Amino acid sequence: VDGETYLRLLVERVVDDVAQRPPVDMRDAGSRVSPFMRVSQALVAAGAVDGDVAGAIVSDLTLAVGLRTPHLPDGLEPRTAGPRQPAPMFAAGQRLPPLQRGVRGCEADVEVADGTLHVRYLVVDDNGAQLVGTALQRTGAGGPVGRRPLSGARPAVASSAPSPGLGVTSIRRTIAAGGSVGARAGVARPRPGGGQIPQFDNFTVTDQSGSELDVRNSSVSGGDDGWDLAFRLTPAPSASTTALLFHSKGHDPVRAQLAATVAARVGPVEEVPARERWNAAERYLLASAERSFQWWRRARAHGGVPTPPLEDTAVTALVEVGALAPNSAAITMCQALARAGLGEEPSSGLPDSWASILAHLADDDGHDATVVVGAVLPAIAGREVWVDALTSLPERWALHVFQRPGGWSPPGAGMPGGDLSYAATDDLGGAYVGFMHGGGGGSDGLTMRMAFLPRLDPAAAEVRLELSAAGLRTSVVVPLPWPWGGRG
Amino acid sequence: MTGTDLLARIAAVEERIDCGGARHRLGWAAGSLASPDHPDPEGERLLGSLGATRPRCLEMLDAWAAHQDDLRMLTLGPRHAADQVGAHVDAVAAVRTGNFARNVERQRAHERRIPPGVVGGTPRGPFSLEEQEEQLRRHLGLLTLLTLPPSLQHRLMVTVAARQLHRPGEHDAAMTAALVGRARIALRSWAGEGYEVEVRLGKAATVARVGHGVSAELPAEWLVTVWGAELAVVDGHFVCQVLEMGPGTWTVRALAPTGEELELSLGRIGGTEAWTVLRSRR
Repeated sequence: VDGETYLRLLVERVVDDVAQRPPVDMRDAGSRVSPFMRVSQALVAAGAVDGDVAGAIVSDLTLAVGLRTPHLPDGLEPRTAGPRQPAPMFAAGQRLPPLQRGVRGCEADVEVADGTLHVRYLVVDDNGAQLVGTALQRTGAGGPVGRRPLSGARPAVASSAPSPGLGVTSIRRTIAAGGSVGARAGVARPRPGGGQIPQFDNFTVTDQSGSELDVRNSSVSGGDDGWDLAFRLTPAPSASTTALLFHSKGHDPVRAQLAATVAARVGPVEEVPARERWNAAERYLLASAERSFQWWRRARAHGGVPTPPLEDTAVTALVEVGALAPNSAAITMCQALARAGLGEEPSSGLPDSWASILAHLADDDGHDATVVVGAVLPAIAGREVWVDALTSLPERWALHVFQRPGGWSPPGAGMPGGDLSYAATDDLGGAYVGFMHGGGGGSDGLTMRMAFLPRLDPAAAEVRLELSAAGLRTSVVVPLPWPWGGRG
Repeated sequence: MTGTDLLARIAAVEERIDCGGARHRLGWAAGSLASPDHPDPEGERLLGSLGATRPRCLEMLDAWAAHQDDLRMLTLGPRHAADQVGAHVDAVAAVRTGNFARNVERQRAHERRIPPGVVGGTPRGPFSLEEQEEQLRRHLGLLTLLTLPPSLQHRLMVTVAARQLHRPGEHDAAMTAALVGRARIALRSWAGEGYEVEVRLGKAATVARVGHGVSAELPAEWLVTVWGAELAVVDGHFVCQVLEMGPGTWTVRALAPTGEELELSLGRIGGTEAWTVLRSRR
């Protein structure tokens, strides 16, 4: 059976189920459709069905389910989001106009009514300038919001004055002797899902000469460690701008010195050796299993019961349409990942790098810091990627990347961020597993946060990121110039 | 026999719908939709283009003209009598006038106290209600047709399927799914709960019970001649194939509840629409 027929037959099963047991609410309706999405994504990723065709089928399915779901607004629930245009992220080889894009460190804690906006860095490209930061919300009545005086076994760095050229901002905490984690007080990263997105926009910005820049909130995205905010600055700061000043009512201006990036080393594009290559279906399965692994782990950490491996339905579909061999090693690896994610003995089937990942999963002694990277990687399989910054948190870390071409795929029609795989290792032999964890954008490009586990080894001096797609790969080595010299 | 010929053998339907404060007749016969209470539809369309409110009956005729070959009708529409599909008339009207997103957002904000600009924790963007409304607008014609009474929805789906029968190679996947989905439900009803039913598209109509499963192969015509004529399961018999379409009596090949293959004469008695078995022979 071909991919489109497989999907349409699956639609019939979902609609039949919904007709027999109508969903009780939106959440229930969504849960009926989500396994279908997984299969649809898998078939698109494997090339078994065209992304636009899959998007149209998903759109029809969601509407068919909506029409059978009572108690929804106006009797008709429109959960049929789709693109205004074909998904350009699948248009490999598309010619893009050159884009000049630069990043500079810009650290400031701006006190506003909702709490503190922790500004991390400034991106300037041909389309303008954006300040990127994190919302830190006031957690209790009274008491100033902000960081505590830094203390501990390691030397503190005054975050308001990062050394130009150091490329590290927001050393927000220190590691106490013995490796225990120092507590943050007064602030918390507000979590998405509470319904209300913090605004954090009642402040103004001037440059060092006093010229005011217009500030507009341009994007909000959330992961489970808080809201990432971006603000468009108009006009864009020029190359001669050395500092920005943040003004908010009732507070003294906060000055942020614009800092240079670290000296990242970008590697060439090379072919992935045949023995390391997976086909499209296998790549999708592995990426999907790695993402599930992280969700299962989080579910367990919060006392939840992880759902069964969702990859099962995708494996069945991929084998049925002939995109995956029933004896593929990727299936074994997915099963091993599922066991590891569910807290069982992973046994065999996982590559060696996973030994390091599993050994450090529970560690929470990572630095709380941002490294401004500003590296542009060579185009790979028609994708251009800029690595803007690296954020290390005690229990995990993330890369903030910009990817072209952008565009959106209909739900179920493509992998978020396309088919690029992200993997990372450090100079001490540690390995990390990454997955997309929040982001947004449009046809101009996608701004994404790639989350990695386990925590970034606090003793590592550099981390190597590898991107691969369509049998090609490239890399970037990011130095980690922790103020205390890294190792130790 | 062409698709049109097949449609001519299926019973005509007439319903009344709300239209401009009145209850107007809307009828289906032999694959065509007509509104006898609007004898001059072209004249009314002309008035509509000058700003007059377009009657709902004409909205139906126009939507049908645009979607009579649209297989999404079979994807969205009901699979069987108990499968109630209802696009709410007010919601469809809101989509048509561009007020859907605003209405829903206002309603949700009121119900959940979510500030304007935020819907269910999702900020404005590609997945905003505005984007969803755009998507719904693309389905507007179909949604309009799905506000019709079930009997008319059913006849319109049959018409779409019949028009597709003689275009093999086009939309085969959608036709296969429409057939398989509906036949599986009918076979499950015939075989009883607990049976795993597998249906394939094929040239001949064959059905076999294998252990606790039912395996069937049915031609695309089944969708029109059997499901379309509302005789997929008659008095517990699964109808595999229509052999003859007489004026009042149809002859079919069917499987008894026991699995025995029979030739049945079917008819509608007592003025009802339901078929019943008049005569059977092995």
